[in-house]
Amino acid sequence: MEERFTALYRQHYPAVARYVARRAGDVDTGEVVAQVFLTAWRRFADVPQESPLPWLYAVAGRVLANEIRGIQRSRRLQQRVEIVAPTHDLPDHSGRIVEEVAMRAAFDGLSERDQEILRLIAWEGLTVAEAALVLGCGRTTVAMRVRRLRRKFQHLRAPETPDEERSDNDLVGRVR
Amino acid sequence: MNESRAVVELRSQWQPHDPALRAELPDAATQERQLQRILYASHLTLVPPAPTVRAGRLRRTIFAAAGAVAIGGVLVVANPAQGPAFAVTPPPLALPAGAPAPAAPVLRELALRAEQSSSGPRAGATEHLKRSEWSLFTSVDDETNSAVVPTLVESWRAPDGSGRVVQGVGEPIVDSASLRDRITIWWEINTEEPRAASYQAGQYPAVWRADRPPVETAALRSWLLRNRPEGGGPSDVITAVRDLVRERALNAAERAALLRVLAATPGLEHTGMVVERAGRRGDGFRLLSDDSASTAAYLLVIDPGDGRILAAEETLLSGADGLNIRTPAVISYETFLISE
Repeated sequence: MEERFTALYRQHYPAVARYVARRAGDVDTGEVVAQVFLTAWRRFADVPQESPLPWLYAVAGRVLANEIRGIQRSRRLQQRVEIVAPTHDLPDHSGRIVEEVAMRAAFDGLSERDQEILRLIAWEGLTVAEAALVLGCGRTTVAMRVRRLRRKFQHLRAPETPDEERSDNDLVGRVR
Repeated sequence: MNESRAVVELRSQWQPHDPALRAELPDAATQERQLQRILYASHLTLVPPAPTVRAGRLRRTIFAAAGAVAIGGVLVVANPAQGPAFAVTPPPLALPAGAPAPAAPVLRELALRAEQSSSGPRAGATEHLKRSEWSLFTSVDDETNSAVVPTLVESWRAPDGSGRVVQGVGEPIVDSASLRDRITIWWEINTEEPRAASYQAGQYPAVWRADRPPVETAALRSWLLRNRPEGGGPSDVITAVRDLVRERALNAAERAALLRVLAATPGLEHTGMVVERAGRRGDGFRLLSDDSASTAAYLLVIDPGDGRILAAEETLLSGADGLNIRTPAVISYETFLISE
């Protein structure tokens, strides 16, 4: 069992660390990740062997919630998209900044729930079904919100992107 | 099955804005050290099975145990047998029955005793402090209760502003025997490697960095409040006093001046003798503070022999909207164990 856990740890540590870094820049990432994997070790029989990341992310969410302390900070996790510093070799420097600001404003305008769905889908790379598992809600709920998010950000996309709608069935279920 | 168009589009649109692209993650050596800690932890104690609860909440319980330790914070654990949930807060210090008396005469008497006492740090020596403290953590999850885990903070501060601070986890206060063992695991893990930080000359983190507190009453009051430009009310004085005692070992003259500042603080009442959390008896002084949103009580416990501040406590009496606590509730305390 120790060998299997060690393999799990080494394979998924970076993903869990990035999950933590995306949500809280001012916590000790290593300490939070250690707590997540200690739980995984304690509850190893409960960790889904085929697809452990949603389980680990859900644990990480709880650990983070507890880590972020203080009355002012703890009422809600204040999570924002960081402005990515523009790379100097980009041809359109100013355009990049404008885009970043627009994206950050768009992200900040989302509800906390939608922000979390966006993170799970776009940055953690989860499927709709896996995101639903992390959030403890139904797949259909996540799928509907994903569709709404896509529509909401349509105006920020390149103009050539077609505005097609798919059925919910395309979104529900394992798609990765 | 293919990725849905919405998922693909969201990813391509948002991946370049991923905050983790620039995040610094723990290096490989750190990861391996943590792995060994985790594996070692399994030998410390056995984990009792999670309580049998409704299926929908089982996962929450496990996850809550996962979130048990924020070192020195409040350990939040789901307790599915109870609801609605309120955070567990420490029991308040017991005040004597009877009406409180004016504080000023008692504090002035204490100031005289402080001046005559010989306890306190030697001039030019490294100051050694140790305290146990706790403050409220409110979970973002409405379905959690909490148990209290105080922090132990010990520090050594040299006159040149160098020093060292070590933080550990105190004895957890839990209200459920079934949770105690699981909490204990976390406790052992975290006390095994208390967090420590060392500071070069001039780098010790402090509110008041260089100078010693003045020993003249008015000057000390201004000095205490200089970082609170909008403050100056009685509760600001109490808060500043707590901050000062957290970071400095006071000599006799400084303690006497501090007590005279308190004596001049309106609204402070003498409650009589109080036994603080380390079991020491001291004079209790309480301030009730109202603002538009809440009512709070500040309590200081002061050694009747030499005027040292032994303990402090803040209790929310009303106005806890948005916090998952049931008032009256202690929202923070400190017990000053060593100050030399």
